[in-house]
Amino acid sequence: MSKVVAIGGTGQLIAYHYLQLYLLGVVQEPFELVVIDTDKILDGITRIQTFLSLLRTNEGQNRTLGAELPVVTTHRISAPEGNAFELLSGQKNAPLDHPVRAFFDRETGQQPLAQGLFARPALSSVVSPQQLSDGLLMPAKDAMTVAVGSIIGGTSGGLLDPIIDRMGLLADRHDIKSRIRAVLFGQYFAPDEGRGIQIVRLQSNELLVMRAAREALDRLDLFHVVGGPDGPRVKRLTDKEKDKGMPWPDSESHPVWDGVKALDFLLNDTVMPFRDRFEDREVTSFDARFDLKRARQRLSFALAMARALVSQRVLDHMVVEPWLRPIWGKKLPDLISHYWRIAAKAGGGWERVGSFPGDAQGQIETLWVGQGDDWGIGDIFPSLAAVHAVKPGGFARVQWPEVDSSAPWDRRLFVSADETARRTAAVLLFWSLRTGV
Amino acid sequence: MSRYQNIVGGSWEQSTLFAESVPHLFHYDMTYLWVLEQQPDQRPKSWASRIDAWRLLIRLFFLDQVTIKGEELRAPLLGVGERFGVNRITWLRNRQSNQPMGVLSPTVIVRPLPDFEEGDLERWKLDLKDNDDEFRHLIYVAMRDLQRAAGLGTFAVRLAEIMRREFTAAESTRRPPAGRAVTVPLLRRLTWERREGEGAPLASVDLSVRSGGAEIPEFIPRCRACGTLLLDEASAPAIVITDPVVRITCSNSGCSSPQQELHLDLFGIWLKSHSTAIVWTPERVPPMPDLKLPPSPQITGNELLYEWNLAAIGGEDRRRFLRLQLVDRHVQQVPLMSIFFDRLLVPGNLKDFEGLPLLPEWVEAVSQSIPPEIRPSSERQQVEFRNLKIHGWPVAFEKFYKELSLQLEPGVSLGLFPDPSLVGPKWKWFRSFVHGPAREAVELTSIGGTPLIKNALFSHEGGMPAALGLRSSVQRSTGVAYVPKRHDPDLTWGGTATASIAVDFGTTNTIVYYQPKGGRIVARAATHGLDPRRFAERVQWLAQNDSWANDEVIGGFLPGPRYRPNAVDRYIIPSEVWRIGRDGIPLIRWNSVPPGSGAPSMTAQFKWDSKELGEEGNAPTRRAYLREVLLQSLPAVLQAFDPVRVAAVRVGTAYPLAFEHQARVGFRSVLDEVAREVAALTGLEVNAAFSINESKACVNAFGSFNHETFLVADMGGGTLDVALFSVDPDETIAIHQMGSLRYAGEDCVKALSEQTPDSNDAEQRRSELRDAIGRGESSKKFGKHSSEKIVTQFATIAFEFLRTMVAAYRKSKSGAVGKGRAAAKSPSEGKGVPPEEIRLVLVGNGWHLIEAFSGETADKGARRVYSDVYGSIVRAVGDPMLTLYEERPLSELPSSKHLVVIGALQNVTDEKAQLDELTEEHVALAKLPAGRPMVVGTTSLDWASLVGEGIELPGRLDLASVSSLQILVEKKKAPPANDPAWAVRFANSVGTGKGGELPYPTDPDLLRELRNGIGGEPPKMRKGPLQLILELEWAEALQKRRGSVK
Repeated sequence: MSKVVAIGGTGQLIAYHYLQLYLLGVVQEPFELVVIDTDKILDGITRIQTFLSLLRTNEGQNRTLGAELPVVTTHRISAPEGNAFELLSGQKNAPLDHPVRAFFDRETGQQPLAQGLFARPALSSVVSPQQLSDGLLMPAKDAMTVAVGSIIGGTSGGLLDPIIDRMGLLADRHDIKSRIRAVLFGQYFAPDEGRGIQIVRLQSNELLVMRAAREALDRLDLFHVVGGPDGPRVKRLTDKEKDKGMPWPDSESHPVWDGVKALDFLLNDTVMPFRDRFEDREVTSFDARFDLKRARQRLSFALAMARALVSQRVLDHMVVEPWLRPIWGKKLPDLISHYWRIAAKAGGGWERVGSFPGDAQGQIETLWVGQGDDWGIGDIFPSLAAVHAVKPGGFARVQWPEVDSSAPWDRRLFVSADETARRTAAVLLFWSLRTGV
Repeated sequence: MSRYQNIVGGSWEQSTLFAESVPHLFHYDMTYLWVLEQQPDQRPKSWASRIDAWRLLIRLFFLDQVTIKGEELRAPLLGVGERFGVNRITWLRNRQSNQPMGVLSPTVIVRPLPDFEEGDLERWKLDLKDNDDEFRHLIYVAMRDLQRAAGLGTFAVRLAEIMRREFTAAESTRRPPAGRAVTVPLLRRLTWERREGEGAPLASVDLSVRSGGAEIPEFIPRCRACGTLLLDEASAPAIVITDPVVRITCSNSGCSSPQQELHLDLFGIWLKSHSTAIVWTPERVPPMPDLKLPPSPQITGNELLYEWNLAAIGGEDRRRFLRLQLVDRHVQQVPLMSIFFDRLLVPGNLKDFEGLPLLPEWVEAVSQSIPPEIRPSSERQQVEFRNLKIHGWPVAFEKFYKELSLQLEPGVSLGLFPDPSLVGPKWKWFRSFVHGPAREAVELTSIGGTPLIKNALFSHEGGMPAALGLRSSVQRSTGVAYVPKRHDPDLTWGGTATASIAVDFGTTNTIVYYQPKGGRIVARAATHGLDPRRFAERVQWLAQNDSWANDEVIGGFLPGPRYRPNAVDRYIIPSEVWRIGRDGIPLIRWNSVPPGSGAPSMTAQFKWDSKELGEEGNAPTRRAYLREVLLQSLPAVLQAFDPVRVAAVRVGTAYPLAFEHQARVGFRSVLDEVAREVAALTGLEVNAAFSINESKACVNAFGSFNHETFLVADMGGGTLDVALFSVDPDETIAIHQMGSLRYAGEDCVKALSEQTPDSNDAEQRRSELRDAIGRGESSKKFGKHSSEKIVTQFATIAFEFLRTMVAAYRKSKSGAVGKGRAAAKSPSEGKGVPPEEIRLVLVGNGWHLIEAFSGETADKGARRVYSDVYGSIVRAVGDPMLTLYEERPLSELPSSKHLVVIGALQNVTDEKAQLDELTEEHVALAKLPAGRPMVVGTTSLDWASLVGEGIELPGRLDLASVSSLQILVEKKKAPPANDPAWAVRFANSVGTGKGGELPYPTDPDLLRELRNGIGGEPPKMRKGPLQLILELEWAEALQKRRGSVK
């Protein structure tokens, strides 16, 4: 399974989009995702992470019925207290002849670290690498490992190069054959100098983080650069926009969308050779496996199917349907039966789970729309005003997984009939989203 | 243009660069480097004043106009610094104000501090006292030093290129400025974490800066008696120098002592050899308070012309020259400091360090009469060399290697075997070697010697090496030299003692015994055996950390203290060799780990020749192996005699009777060559004219008995040597039968290896089996039913021959071997005299395969399994008076194999009975029962008749007539078995079921072999039919078929 290491705000954004595309079935292959930031992890990523955990059939495996699932790990780096001078000299004001003054200038040394690295990648050297365990950064075996982040910010600019270097080290140490790649974001948004960050500092970061990569990252196999000194500038999403129903990029050439496609390409390409010269390892053009139009089409179908699953109370209808298989097909009823059996065992007998289809239908609604401030699965995606109508026959065309009734199910996950209904709802939503047409 | 190029490429002129944009602790160092690597017109304008400051700081640094002082980092900064390989910084401070100006930089030598301001630059300019000529020379030297450090990574070369571009480097045409070395950190690789197998991210390089501003005072030769200048005119003839003294006549006619002598040291000249003179030059010498040197001489051929400045000698403008001629010598100018390593490699424990910081080829430049004082300090992580006196240099001086100039390699040991102090000055053979887990980090170099394993093992056959050196594998200018020493002066050596040793050179294993000084004559392993584990005690460790005590093999050639820790017999030396390098130099294969980094081949069973090897056969391997065994063993023998000095060694050997005439001649020749070579390499007188056949050696080792009869069957790897003899009370031994069969342990190992075929080749599998047997691990690894079965079948086949021997002996005594139990009765038995007991003594490790592959060994113990199995086989033979003998001396030996070496040693030490059976006049010849009835011409030979090289064929035949006679063998007519069950058991062992026919060679094959074996005058038949059947057919049957033994 390939691995994505998303660093900083831009890394998070790309990872979030890529997870959405997986749920919509645009991206077929599962992947391992590690999200690292000093800032808060996006709610959407956290919601998908919990949704994926609901889908698992076994606590020790990342599988659901019929598919292997992505593995999402998030890690928030805790910023040290005080500033670099205090941290490294143990004194409030490091005197001019303290050795720390040989490394950091006064302005940098006095930046309070609790609020981030202030667009100063060098300050990442005071962040203990022990915060990032080997397991978190272990490259994917016999597959691709792609780091994503911006080289202009403090956090990802400070962490991208060391993390890629560390991944190369781990690959060597554990004899892992992994091609390590990166999607690097240069300048792509119009900075808001009102937030205290000068453009020249971002330009300096862009140049020197990239120069450091060339100096040190001999294991970096391929990289794609988004943006840059002459690239288009787009408006940065506000925190509010990154909330429920976050909009998608509006054009094929949008830097974020370029980054998502580049991530997909670097995760899946097995053809590009390794080149000796660092500058020759840049992927300047590639054939993307999807475009924005197709992705939007999938989004429309998927949302239509999921909403229909909720609004048409499909399970309630199905359970009283005399022409069950001709109308609903074979697989969906089998799937419900399968989970109903599990519910009976988890709940203490058939007589106690007579209302299982109705319970599962209720859970579908709860999962999709959320409760109170809690995100529903529907909140992950941009809101679409109009969606297609879905007839009952449409549910038969969803590629529901085959049920293997002999396969063991994990009692640690299916602890009660209610929990089984919740997990059933998740599975139905998952396949509706991924394969609904 | 690619986006990468758009970001990084092109001009940086308009860029605003912040060093803190570099995600690394060395952000300033890296930014300075990258900016300096840009073309001058493409550098960012915002960095112009910083670059100017860097250029000025470089100048101040090289001209020694800043205070350079290191400071250790302390926690919490130390915790961060160590991750990047930094634990100290070195400040550059203003000489007057002591204010920090900059630091030493791992990328650009020096750099201003991060808080540098433009105003600083103007102040610094005022501090500079420039000397462009010296500065350019120092830059020239620095560039050369950086180029030499290219092995440390790319940064040294990149930095040298920056220096070339930024400054005008030029070698000074005048005497270079006095210099001192400053250790400057040098980045090896930009990384955030150290990688396994790589050095620390930071290395260092020594750069020369001007020393204190003072030039080295000039030495001016003056008359000791009157003070007159001992100089002459430019045209004056040269003073001829033949020894280290300059003899000058004082020009003062009134001088009371006009014949003056000045030592060449005053001129910085060393007469290195009869053909070479060294003129030392003073670049980069550390401060030496009393140092004075004459002006730099003009050298023409072997003539040196010194010219003093008239100002320095009081205005004398005519007599200000001195011309020296170093007759018959090539004159070489050498910078004194170039004979030292830039960084010191410290193998083993720092606290015990005794090496020298010189290149090995210059070790002899150090005065041995006034050895330097070496002071390693673990606390301060430094090594001081005090009172360092170099031949030809005017003064003794000090040299310090501090932390950044040390490469500590605690996992490396350096040894010399044998310790020269144990073997005396005439001993010429030595091995120098590197050992330890970090061996790959260093390369062994040696003056003289032949490399056996690249960078790790040298052989020296011309005497103790003068010096040994270790260099860092990654940095050629890091190293150390050692001078091996003999503790006792050569004069105390000499002596007349003679040592005796014996070697049982077996097909699979070898054992060596020696006669200790004053030791008892009855040899036993504990007192006479040489335990290979103790060979390494004779190593002179020049550097070590004691970890070798836990190793199986040391230096790839010597057994270590942990060699085969679980072995039942501690005294075994494997008769196997690795073949090293292109020349296939043999080294004893002590374990399965190949020495060195290549994939050497291995050779086993070279005791015997095979036809495909040609005429020379395995003789070179035998010679090299025996030479190696003796050279590794002799130091222990010599040490055991200490303080008595050994001058001569007598070497006894044993050989199998299966050696035919040609093999005996060949073996004799090998022993003679080995004796000659060992004598030449050790300075000992070596006499190897003591040889005895293995069967007789066993007999001799047995000691004294009363009218008792023994059948000794010595089964090694290659042969089964048998002897049936009686011992009389007067120690007379009557040998009734004796011989040697080519049927032994290796046949069984071969059969065992066939049952476990896997990916590796057959020879490799056999080696693994042998290793497991030798290490006492075979029963655990391979002890299973199928293995037990093969080994029991193997033993049973051997017993068929032993049974025949016993039966033939009884028949010869009685003439009445019949059927059944009565057959065992002697004639006297019928008259109420008890039958003669024959004690069967099983000797040799071939028999021990039984317990080595038994699944019961772990529970019952090896000795019990051995006794049970062979007790049952002896009983199965059905001769009630054939008993298994396991009493003394067998019970006193680690294994019965020791009987042979004990007998061989006795043959050397017992002066009344010394034999050299490999010479024809002493040779004992085989006589064994034919085992099958046969007819030669008109003469019938009973199955119990003896044949062999020691028995003439009956009928007064000559060779011509016997070769034309018809020979008939009744091969299926086996000697009658005392117990019918034996016949079934035996049939099963050769793969024939009940009622099936035993496998036999075809008549033509058997007859051909019989005829081939007939020779001599009168004619003798070398091998009888049964021996041939066993060797030709039954040994093979073991490989092919698996019957069962009941």
